Amino acid sequence: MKDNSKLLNFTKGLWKENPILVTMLGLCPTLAITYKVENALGMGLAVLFVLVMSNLIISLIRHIVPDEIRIPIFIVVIATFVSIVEMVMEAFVPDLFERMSLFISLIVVNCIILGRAEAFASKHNWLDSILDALGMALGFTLVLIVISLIREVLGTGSITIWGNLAINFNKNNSPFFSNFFVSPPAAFIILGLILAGSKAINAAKAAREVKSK
Amino acid sequence: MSTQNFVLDKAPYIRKADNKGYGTAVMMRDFLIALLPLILFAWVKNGLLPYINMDTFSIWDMLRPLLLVIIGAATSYLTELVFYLLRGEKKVFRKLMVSFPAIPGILLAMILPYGTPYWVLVLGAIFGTFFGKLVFGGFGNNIFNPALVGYIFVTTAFTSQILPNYLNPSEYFTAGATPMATLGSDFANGVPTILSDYPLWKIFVGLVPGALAETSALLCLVALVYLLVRKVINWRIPVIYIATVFVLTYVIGAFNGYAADIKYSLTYIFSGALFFGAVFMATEPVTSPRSPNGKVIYALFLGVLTVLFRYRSSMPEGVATSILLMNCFTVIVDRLAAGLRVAANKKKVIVTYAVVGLLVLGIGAYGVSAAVPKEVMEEVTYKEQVQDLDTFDFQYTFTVGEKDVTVITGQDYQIKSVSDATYDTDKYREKFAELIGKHKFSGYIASKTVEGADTILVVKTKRSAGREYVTSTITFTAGQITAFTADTAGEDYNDSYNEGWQEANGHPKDIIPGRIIANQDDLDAVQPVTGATDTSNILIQAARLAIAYMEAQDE
Amino acid sequence: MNKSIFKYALLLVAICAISGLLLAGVNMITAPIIGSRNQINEKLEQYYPYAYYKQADDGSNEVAENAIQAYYYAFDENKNLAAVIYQTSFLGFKSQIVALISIKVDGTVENAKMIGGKDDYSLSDHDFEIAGESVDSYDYTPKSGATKTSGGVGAGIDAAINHFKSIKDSLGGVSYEG
Repeated sequence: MKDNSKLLNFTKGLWKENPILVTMLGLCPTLAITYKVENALGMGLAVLFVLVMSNLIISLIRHIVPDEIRIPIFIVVIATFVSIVEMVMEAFVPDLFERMSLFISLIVVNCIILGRAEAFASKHNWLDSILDALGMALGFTLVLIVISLIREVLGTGSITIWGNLAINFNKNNSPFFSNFFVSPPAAFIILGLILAGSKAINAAKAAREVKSK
Repeated sequence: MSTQNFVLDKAPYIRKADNKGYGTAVMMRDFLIALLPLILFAWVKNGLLPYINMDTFSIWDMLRPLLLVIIGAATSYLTELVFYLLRGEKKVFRKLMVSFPAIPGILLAMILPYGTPYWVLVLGAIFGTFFGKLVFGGFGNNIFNPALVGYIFVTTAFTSQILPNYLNPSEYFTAGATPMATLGSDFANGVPTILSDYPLWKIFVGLVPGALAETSALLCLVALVYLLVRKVINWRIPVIYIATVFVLTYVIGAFNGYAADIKYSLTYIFSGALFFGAVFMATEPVTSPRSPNGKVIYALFLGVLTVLFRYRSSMPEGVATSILLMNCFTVIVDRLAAGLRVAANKKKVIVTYAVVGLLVLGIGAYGVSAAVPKEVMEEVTYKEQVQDLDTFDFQYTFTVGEKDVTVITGQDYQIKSVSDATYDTDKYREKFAELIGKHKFSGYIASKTVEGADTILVVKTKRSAGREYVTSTITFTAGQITAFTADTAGEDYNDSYNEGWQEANGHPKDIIPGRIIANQDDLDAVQPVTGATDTSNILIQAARLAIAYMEAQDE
Repeated sequence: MNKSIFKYALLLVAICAISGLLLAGVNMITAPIIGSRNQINEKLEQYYPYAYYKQADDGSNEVAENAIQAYYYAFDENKNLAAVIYQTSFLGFKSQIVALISIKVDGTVENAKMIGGKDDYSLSDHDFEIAGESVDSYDYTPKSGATKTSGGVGAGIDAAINHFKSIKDSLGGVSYEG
C-alpha cells in the first residue's frame, strides 16, 4: 500500500498533474526556448536539478522553518541552486548557456518550483518530496521535448543536438520547413494545440469511464 | 392576435424583412454573386489574355486562376467537413450548408498572387478555416476574418513562395514590380514612376500586376453598389475607410509637392487591395461592429491604421493587418458606440468622441509624418588642405556635390568656420570633422614670434598617422637659421631608436640641428643619424618648412 | 514579539550564510574556466575580430619559446570555421617576439601582428605585407631597419604556415561545439 502511493507520487507529475498541461505553470520558458530540442533538454535538466535539490532541502528543514518567513527561505534555497546551475552551465556548455541565460535565471521564479515547494515539499518527508520532484521535472521535460521536436522539425527540417545533425528530414531544402515554426507565434499555436489535445484525451477518458459505470 | 415569430437563425442576426427570402443564407449568396465578376476578371487578365497573347502555352497556366479559386474553396470546405465529422457532429451536411465554409477559401485564393503554389494555398486555407473560424465555434462566432488569418499565416511562413510570384506570364516580360511595391519603397517619386508605366484608368480598372483578383477597383465599386442595393452591407464602412485613406494620402502628397494633384491620392487608393478589402473583408458582418456609429469609428481606425502600416512599416500592403487588428476591437467599439447612443450624460458622449477623434488624428499624423521628406546629405569628398600662413590656421577644401566648400580649423583641428552656410549644419560638420581627422597635417608652422632682429618659428612635424608631433624651435636672423632646438619626446622611441642605432651615433635632436644649420642652403646634403633615419628626417622636414615660409615672407 | 523577529532574522541569516558558502565553493571551481575562456576571447578579438573562438586542444604551452605556443579556431556568426589563429614566439633582436598570425580556411594569410616582446622596436603598427598571401606561395620580406625583430615574426609566420598546411585537410571536422 505504501509502495503504491510512493509510485503514485512519482507518476502523477507525468500526466495527471503535469505542470504544463494541467496546472499550466512555467509556460514562459516553455514558449520561449522550445525552438530547439537541445534547449529543451538543457532546460529540463536544469529544472530537474533545481527541483530535486530544493524539494529535498526544503522538506528537510520544514520543521525548523517558521510559517511566517517560509517564502523568503524557499526563495533563498531555490535561488542558490539556480545560481549553481548557471555557473556550471556557463563553464561547461557556454553555447547553450548563451542562448538560454535569461531563462535559466528565470527558473528562480518558475512557478513549478515554488509551487511544489509550497504545496508539497514543506508538508511531506524527504523521500516523497524527491519522488514528487522527479515526476514533475520529468513531466515538464517531456512536454518541452514534444513541443520542441515539432517546432524544430517543422521549422528547420532537422534536429541538431550539440552540433551534430541527428536527423534530417529536409534533404531537398523544401520551403515547407519554414522559419515560422521556430518563431514565437508558432510556440503559442503549438502549445495551444497540445493543451487542447491533452484535454480532449482526458475528456474522452472520463466519458469512457462514465459509460462503463 | 399574431404570434411572435422567433427566428432560429445563426448570428449575425440580421433581419432584413419577414420574408423568407432574406436572411443570412441569402446574404452569403449575394456576396458570392458579387465576387463573381472579380473572379472572371482575374481569369481573363491572368489566364486567358496571356494565353491569347501567346506569353504562355500551358493550358494549366491559363486555367490557374480558376483552379486556385476552386482549390481554395474545396480545401476550406473539406477542412470544415473533416472537423465536424471528427467531432461526431450529426447531420454534418446540414450544418455545412448554413456555415458557408467555402467563402474563406475563395477569398484567400483571390488575395494571394497568381503564382502561389497550390500547396501553399491549401495550407493557408486549412490554417485560416481552422484557426480563424472553427476553433472559435464556427460560423458566426469568429473574431477574425478567416481568409485574412490564412493570408497572414501564408505570407509570414512562406514569404519566399509568395513574393516572387506576383507576375502572371504576360507581366513577366513587361513589368518590374507591382505598383504597391514601388509605392512602398519611394513615397515621393513612386507615383510618377507608376503613372508613367500605367495610366490612371488602367490602375482603376485593374490591368496592373497585383494579387490574383484584387486589383480591379472598378469591379469592386460595381460589387459595392450591388451589395448596397441588395442590402447585404452597410455603406458606412467601405466609404469611410476609403475616404480616410484618400484624405490622408492627399495630405502626404501635399507634403511631397503634389498639393494640387488629386492623382497622387487616387493612385494610392486604386492600387493594391484597398477597395477589395474595404468592400469584402472589412464589411463582414460577423467581425465588424453592428451599430452604425460603431461602424464609423471602425472605418476611421481602419483608414489611419492602413496608412500607418503602409508608410511606417516595411509592409507594402497595410490592409490585411489593419483589418485583423481592428477585428480585435470590434466588440469594444460596438459597446462604446451603442452605449453612447443611449447615454444620458451628454458630456460623456462628447468626451468619448473627443478621445476617439484624438486617437484617430494622432495615429494618422504619425503615419503621415513618415512620408515627410527628410534632409538628404550629399556626398563629401576631400580635396586639398593648405595652411593659412597669415593666421596659421588650417584650411581644408571639400567637394560637396558640385561645390567646393572651405572649412577653417584651428591647430587643434576643431572647426572654426564653414564657408558655405548651407553646409554648416551639425550633420555636415560631423562629416567634415571625420574627414579632417583622416587628413592631418604632417608638418605645419605653429607660431611665429619676432624678437628684435630674430624671427622664431615653432614648427611641428611628424612621421605618420599614429605618431606624435615633434616640435622644433627655429630661430632666423637675417634670413639664416641661427638656432635650432628640437623636442623629440613625442616620438615613442626611448633612447634606442632601432636595433641599428648605437649610443655612439648620437641622438638626432643633438646632432641634426648642427648639421642643418651648417647645410641650410642645401638641406638634401644633411646626413641623417644612422639607425635613426626617420627621426632625423622629421627634423630636416621642419627646417624645410621654416625656410619655405621665410622665403615666402620675403616676397 | 521581539523575540520571534530576532529568531526569524537569525534563521534567515543562517540560511543565507550556508547558501553563500555553497555558492562560493561552486564559484571557485567554475570561475577559472570561464575566466580563461573570456581572456582568450578578449585577446583574440582585439586583433582578429570573429564571433567565436575555441582553443585547439593540443597540449599547447603558453610559455614555449621558439615554437607555436597555441593555436585557436575562429568561427563566424554561423559557427562556421573561418580562420586558424596561431600564437608564436620566436627570437627577435634581444627577446622572444610573440606574434599572432591568422590564416583563413581557404589558405590565404589574413595578417600577422606582433603582440609581445621586449625588443624596443614596436612593430604593431606595421603590417608585414603578408596580408592576402596564399600559404602555398608567399614571400615574407622583413621590415627594413628592424630586421631582427621582424625576423622573430617571420619565423613565427613560417612555423604557422607549415603547421596550417599539415592540418589543412582535416579542418572540415572542426566545429564549435564539443
